Amino acid sequence: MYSQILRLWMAVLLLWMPLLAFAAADLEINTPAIGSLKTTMQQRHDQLAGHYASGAVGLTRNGLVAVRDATLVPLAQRQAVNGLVAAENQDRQALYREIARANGHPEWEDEIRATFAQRWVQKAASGWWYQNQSGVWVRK
Amino acid sequence: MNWAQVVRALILFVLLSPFAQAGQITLSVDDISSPAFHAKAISATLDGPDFSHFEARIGELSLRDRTWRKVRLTCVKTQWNNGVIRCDQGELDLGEKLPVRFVYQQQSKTLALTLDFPRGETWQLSAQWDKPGWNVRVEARNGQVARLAGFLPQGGIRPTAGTWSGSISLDGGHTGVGNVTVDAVFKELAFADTSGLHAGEKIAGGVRCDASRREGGWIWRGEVDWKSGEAFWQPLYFADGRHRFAGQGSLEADWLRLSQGSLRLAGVGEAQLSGAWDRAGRGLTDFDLKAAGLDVAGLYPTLLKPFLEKTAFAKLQAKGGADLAWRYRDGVTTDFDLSLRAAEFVDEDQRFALHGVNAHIPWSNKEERQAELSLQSGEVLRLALGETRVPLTMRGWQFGAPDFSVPLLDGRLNIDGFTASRNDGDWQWRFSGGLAPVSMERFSAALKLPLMQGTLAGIIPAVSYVGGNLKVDGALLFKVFDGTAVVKDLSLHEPFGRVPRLSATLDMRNLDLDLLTSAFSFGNMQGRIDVSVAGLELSDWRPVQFDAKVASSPGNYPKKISQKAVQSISSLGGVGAAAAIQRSFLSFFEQFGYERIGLSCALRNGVCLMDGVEPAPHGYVIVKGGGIPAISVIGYNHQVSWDELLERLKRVTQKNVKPVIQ
Repeated sequence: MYSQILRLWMAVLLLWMPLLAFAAADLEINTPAIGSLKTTMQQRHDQLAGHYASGAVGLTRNGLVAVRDATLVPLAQRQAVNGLVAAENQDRQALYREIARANGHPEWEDEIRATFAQRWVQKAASGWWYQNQSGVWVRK
Repeated sequence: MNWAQVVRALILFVLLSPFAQAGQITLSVDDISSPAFHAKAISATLDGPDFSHFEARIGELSLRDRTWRKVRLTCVKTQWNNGVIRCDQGELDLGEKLPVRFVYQQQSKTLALTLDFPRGETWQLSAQWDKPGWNVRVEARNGQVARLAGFLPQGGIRPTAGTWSGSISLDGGHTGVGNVTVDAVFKELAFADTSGLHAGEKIAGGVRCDASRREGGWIWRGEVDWKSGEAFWQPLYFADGRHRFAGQGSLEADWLRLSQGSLRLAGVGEAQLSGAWDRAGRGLTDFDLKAAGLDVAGLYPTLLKPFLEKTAFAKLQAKGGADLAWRYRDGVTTDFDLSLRAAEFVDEDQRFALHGVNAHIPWSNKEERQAELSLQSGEVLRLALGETRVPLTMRGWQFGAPDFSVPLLDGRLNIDGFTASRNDGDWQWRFSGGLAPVSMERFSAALKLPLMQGTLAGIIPAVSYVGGNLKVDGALLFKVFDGTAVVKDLSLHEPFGRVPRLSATLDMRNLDLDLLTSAFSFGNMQGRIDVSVAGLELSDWRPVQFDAKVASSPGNYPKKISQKAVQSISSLGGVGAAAAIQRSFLSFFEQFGYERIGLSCALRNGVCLMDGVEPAPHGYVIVKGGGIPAISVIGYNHQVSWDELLERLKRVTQKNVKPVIQ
């Protein structure tokens, strides 16, 4: 009986190990590359903020951004918004990769991305659109 | 019952019916169907003097995908004369009440109907259906194109604004439509699909098209003249018009074919096209394109850039001329022949630039072909490239080049055994070679480093690029500052990506301190040093981690250090010996002797953990004195922020800046 309980606890512990290990990841870690990425993302945010607010661009469930409704963007700007979204996603993917590397665990990239996906939604202003866990667009 | 039968019945009622005497005729029909339309619950009433008041009601009228309910046509002055029904003042109620005029001639079986809308908008329908054929013609003047939206398939592109003038004619026989002719001009046309990924606004232009039924399908011929207005067709955007397309082809059950076409895009050039589109689902299967004299300055931003957003070529200034022939069969590119003339490609992020590019690339997926590329000058990561010619052998996506060299600054980069291939859309390549002497003056100036003397030369072992990683197998050997430098385990991840990442091990031996210190205006030092940098990692070209060590080289050689160099070293280590010199008799001496020098820095998390040749009370020895007069320099800061250290280095190596003594 005791051995069964012990095995059960061991199994529970093993299941939680990766999460416990990930919990130690420093998401605020800073390196020159992370600093550079954050700077360009902040600069780009000024251009994207209006499109988040209008609902043209939304936050995806995998920590990226996507054109949600192109009709909300004037025709002449649609291509530029595509470019902004592509550049933002390149930076975001690089950011997750760099944070994982800076923590000494490149394999944590997916978990860091998932954590950031939640963070972006939490930090999003009211009225912005995001994808819920089912991939459905929801207005905050 | 068909429509002609209904009209015939009405006329017979007027002429023959005994109810006519009672002053009113009423006709009811449950249902009328034809391939083009469907009407239910139809009734027609004639009354008034000479039956001049006519009213027809249709409970439900369907035309293609569009349905109207409670349709009503009234005419207060209907004239009945020898089989001719004329209404000059009628009203059609389609939800919106519209003035209507019509004339029907029973003998010739012709109907002419005119709808007058406000603001000069007129639609005319004329139809004639006599055996063996029939024709229908719709003409419009300032017709609102949005009225056509209901006749188009759901979910596709729909006109939302604008007007058209012109005509659409259809004729045929009992087997269906035989010919279709469209001749229309548009003004202020806007269209969009529901996603907004295909849309146009304020478009002016014209369309001419005719199609005729032949056995097995249709043959067609058409012209589109896009004079002005903007359109977005994901991911392409055309800011203005002056584009034109003309072509002819056929439409079969599963195929739309373009046998001959010509496309002219303003600012880009003209191309001859042909192709086949599988409507059953495979999409474009065959395609041929020939274009000469294309303007790269227009071609790149309009047609290439939108597809290169995720590559290193996303932000280029491009110009030059190009010819292209492209052959695509069964969904695969089989041949292309690209020529570039006096082309330039300059990266806006200043990572690379190619000037005076000429190329002829006659590629085939089956046969071996020879290509030729040349450039007059260029730049990669700020390093200037000279005139280069590269003959290339192509066997499908396997490329190879004989040994060639690229002038690099004032030296030469020799490239031997270059091969490249493309697998699953990813490129990989490899080469070996060498670097013929490049002056350090030019090299350091190009990289915006302090001017250095000496030459850079070496052997480049196998360099390979696979999956976004550039890797050097073996060791890179260079001669610098009269010593040797060996770079090992060099790899570069995504060199043109958002965050390039470099890792390497660097080992330099016997560097001449005299040459090195004069380059950095550090203060003169004489002697020889070894520098090793293990586990070097750069991210975005900035160091993230390394274990660096500088130490006097073994051997006998003069060892002198100037007072200024002592001050510079002291500045790096924080509080140092410089103040002591200034306070003592040592300030009379310009140079001092030393036994050995040593300084190490282990960079971790932005902090440099420093050490010297040996421990000292509360610190470590950086310069151990020897000879007469001798001086030792002690460092006291074991941990220095990397940014702070760089700032100190910058201060002490800049000319005309006095060292800061802390």
